[in-house]
Amino acid sequence: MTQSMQTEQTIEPTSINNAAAKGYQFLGTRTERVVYLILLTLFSTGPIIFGKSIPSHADWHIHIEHAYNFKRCFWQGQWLPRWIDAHASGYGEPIFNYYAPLVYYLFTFLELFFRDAVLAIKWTFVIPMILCTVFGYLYLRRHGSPYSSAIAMAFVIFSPAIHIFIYNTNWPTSTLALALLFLTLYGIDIFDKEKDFDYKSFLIVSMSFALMALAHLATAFIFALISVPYLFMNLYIHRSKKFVKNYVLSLALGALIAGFYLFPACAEKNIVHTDEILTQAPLWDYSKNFLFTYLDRHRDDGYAWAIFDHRYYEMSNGLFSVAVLLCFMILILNLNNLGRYFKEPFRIKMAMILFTVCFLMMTPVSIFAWIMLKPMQTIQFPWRFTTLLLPFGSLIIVYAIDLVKAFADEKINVTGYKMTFYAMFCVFCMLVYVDVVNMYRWKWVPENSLLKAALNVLWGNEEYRPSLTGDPNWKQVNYRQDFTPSIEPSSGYSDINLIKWYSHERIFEIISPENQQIRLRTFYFPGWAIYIDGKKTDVSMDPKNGSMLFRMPAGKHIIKVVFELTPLRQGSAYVSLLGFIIYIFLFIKSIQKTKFTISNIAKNEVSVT
Amino acid sequence: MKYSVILSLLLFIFPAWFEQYTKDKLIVFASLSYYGSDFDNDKRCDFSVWDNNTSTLYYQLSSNQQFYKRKFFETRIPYEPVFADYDGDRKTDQAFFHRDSGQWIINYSSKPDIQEKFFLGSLGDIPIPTDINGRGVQDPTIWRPNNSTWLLTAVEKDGSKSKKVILEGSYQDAAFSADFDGDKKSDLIVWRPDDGFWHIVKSSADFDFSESEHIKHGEERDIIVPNDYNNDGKCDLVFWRPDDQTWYFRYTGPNESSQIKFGYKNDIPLSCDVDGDSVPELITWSRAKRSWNVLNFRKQESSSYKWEVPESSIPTVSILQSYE
Repeated sequence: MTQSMQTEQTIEPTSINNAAAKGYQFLGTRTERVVYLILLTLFSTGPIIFGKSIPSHADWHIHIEHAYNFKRCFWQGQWLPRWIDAHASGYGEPIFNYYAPLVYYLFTFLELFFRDAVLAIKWTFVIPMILCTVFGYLYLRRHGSPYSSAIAMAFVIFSPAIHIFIYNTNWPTSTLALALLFLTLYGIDIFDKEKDFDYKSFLIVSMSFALMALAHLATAFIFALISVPYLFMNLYIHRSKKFVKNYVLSLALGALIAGFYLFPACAEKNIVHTDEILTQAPLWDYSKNFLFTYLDRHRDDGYAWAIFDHRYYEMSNGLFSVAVLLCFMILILNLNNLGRYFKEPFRIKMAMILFTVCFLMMTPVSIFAWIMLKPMQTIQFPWRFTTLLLPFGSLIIVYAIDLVKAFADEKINVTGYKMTFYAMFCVFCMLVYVDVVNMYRWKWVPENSLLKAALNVLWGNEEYRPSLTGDPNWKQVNYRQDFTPSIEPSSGYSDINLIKWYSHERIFEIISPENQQIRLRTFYFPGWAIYIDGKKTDVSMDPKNGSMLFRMPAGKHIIKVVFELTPLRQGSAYVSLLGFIIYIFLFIKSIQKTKFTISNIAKNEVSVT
Repeated sequence: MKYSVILSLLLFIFPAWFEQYTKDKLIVFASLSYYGSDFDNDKRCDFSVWDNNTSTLYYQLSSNQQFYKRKFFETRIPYEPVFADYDGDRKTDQAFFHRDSGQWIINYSSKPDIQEKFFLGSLGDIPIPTDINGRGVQDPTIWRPNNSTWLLTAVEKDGSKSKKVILEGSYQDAAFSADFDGDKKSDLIVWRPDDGFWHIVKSSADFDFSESEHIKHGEERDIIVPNDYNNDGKCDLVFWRPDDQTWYFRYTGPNESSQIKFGYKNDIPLSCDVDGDSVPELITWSRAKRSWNVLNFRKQESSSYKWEVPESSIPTVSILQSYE
C-alpha cells in the first residue's frame, strides 16, 4: 500500500522540468551528457589509444603471448583453442580449457579487422572500457535521473575496477566482465512483473551472464555468490513467482550458452594443478591479499598485489569508497524520507547493504567468510570484489545526488549537502590524479617488446600444467631446459616428413626399417589420440614427464596425432548449442511479440479515430 | 538470383584470401646477413627470396646471372630459411627450420642428393647458425628466449658432436652469433631494444657472461643488420632505423661510428657483398615493389633490380627474426 502511494512521486520529471525552467544546467541536455561521457572515456582511454603502446605491469607479457597463441591456434582451426602447443617449451598446455576466452576472441577479431597486432591489443583494452561506460550508464540510468547517472559515471570511469585494472593488470578480462555485470544487473532490474514473460529482461540477463562467464570466470563466480541474496532482495520488491522463474531460468540459460567453456573448465580442474596453485601457491594466498591492511608489502612474502603496486590500487579504491561513503551518509541521514522521493526505496537499502558487504569482503574483517567458504579461495584475491563494489557504490552516488536535487527542487536548504558534493568533487580530482600518476609511473612497453613478448615469452603457467604423472615434485621438472626432439624414435634412423603441424593436429610420415617406439614431445592430456594409417593406436605415457609414447611397426606409415573432444567437452558443446537455439527461439518470439503489440496499438488508434 | 550467384562466388573464393587475411603486416626485428648467401662460391652474394606460401626459393647466381626457381616442399608446412655454410665448402647451404616442431632440414651443397633432417629446438626457439670452434663451418644452434638459453651444437676435431648450454639474453632481445673479437669463433650477441644495449658474450672467455662486453647503440624499433662492414674480420654493430631510413654503423675494430641514409620506410634491410670486394653492400628489399635496392657505399653507387616473384616473398640473404 505504502509502495503504491510512493510511486506517485518520482524524481525524474521534476528535475528535467525544473532544468528547463532554470535555463542552462550542467549536463542538462542529452547531447551534453553524451559529449561529457565520451570526453571522460577518451580521457581515461586516451593514453592507450594515442600512446606508443601499453604500460608494462605485472603479467603483461603473458597476456600478450596468450593472445598471440590464441589467435594462432584459432586460425589453425581450433574454434575454442583449448590446446596451446607453445607452452611448457612445446609440451603444450590446455590453457583455454580453463581460462576465459572472450577477450581473446575480441583480440582475434580486432586483429583480423586492423591487421596490426599492436592496434588490436590497444583496442582490446579500449573496447571493454567503452562498454563499461555504455552499460554502466544504462544501468545507472535505470535507477536515477540522467544528471545523477552521468555524474556517477565519472567515478565509474576512473574507478579502480576500470582504470587500475586496465593500467595495472594489463589485460581487460575483469573490465569486460564488469561491463557485462552492469548489463546483467540492468537486465535483472528492468524486470516487469506485469508481463506474462518479460522477454527483454530474460534475454539480456541470459546473454550478458553467458558473456560474463566467458569474459572472466572469477567475476562470474563472485556474481553467482551475490546472486543469491540479490534474488531474495529483489523478491522483496517484486513479490512474484514470475520474477523467481525469470531470474533463475535466465541465469541457467546463460550458463548453458557458456557451457562449452564453463562446464569443462569446472569439471576438469582435477586434471591440471589449478586448485593447488591458485589456493596454495605462495603468491596467490587470499589471506595475504586483503586490501587496507598495511603498506610496503613485498611479492616475495606472498603478496600478489604487490606486483601491481597495491598502494595505487588501494588509494584509488579508497577514494572511490570515500565518495560513496559521503553519499551513503546523505542517504542514511534521510532514510525515513526515501519513500517520498523514490519509486523503489528498498533498492537504495539493497545497494547500501551490498556495497557494505562487498567492501568488507575485500578487507580482513571478512576472513571468517573466506575460511568457511572454501571454493571462494580459488578466486585468489579478495580485491576481486571491487568489480561488484562498483555498481552498488555508483548506485549510491546516483541516489544521493537525486535525493539532494529533489530537496533543492522543493526549495529545501541544501547548503550542507552542497559542501558534501564539493568534497566529492575534490575526491574525484584526487581519484583522477592517483590514476594518472599510477598510469605514467610505469614504463610503457614499446611495440617491439610487445610483439616479441607475443612470440617469445611462453612461460607456461604452472596452474594449467596437466596433472598426469602423480609426481609430488612435479614443479621441479624444468621444461624450459628440456631440449628433447618433438618426435623421437626409440632407435636407429627414421625419415620423418611433416605433412601438417598444427597445435591440435599433427600429421607426419615416418619411414623406418625397424619397429619403433615413438615419443612425442606433447603432454598426454585427455583428448589426445593417435592414428597409424587411419587406425587408432594405444598410447602410453612417459612416467617422467607425461609425454606421449606409442609403438609403430617397421615400414612407411602416416601418423595422425589429434586433440579430440572428450565426451564431457563434446556434451558441453551440444548443451551450448541447445542453449543458443533456445535463446534464438526466444529472441524471435520477443520480436514477434513486439511487432504484434505495435500493430495492436496502431489498430486501436485507427479504430479510435 | 543475381545476388545468390555473387554470394556463392564470394563464398567460393573466401578460403583463398582469408588465410592471407589472418596474417599481420611483417615486422622485422633483426636481419642477420652475417652468414652469407653465396650458393656458387664465387665470393659474391647471390640474391634469393623465399615464398612461404609455395615453399619455393627464387634465386639468381652471380656467376652466370641466371635465375632459378626451386620448390622444396610439397606440403604447406611453413619452413623458414636459415641459410649458412653448414658443410664448410664455402657455398651457402639451403637449410630450413620449422618453428612449430623444431625440425631442421639441411640441403648440403657438397652432397646435393642428401637432405639431412633432425629435430633441434621446439616452438618458441630461434634458429641461429654458430661456429664456436672456428672451423669455418656453421653448426645449427637454437636460442630459447623464454629461458634465456642457447643450445650450441658443434662437431669436435674427432668428429664427435657436442652440445653446450649457455645462458644469455632476454625474451625481448634480438639474438645472433658472429665473430666480434676476430678470433674466427662465434661470439653470442644479443641486442636489447628496451635500452639499446648490445651484450656480447665472447667465445674467447668461454662464454662467461661476467666477462662480456656491453655497448649501447640503437633504440627501440631499430632493425639490427650486423655484418663485417670494413672487412677487418670483426662483426660491426649496425642497425637500420625505419623512421629515418638511416643505417647507423659502429665499427668494432676502430671503434668509430657513421651513418648512411638509404632505403625506404617499409623495406627490409640486409647486407651482402655483391661485387666481390669482401665489403658488404647495403641492400634493401621492397616487398611492395618486389625490388632490390643496392648501395655500394664505398663507391657511392646505387642500383635497383625488380624481380617477378610473389608478393609474400622474403629475402633469404638474411636470416630474419620477425613477427607476422
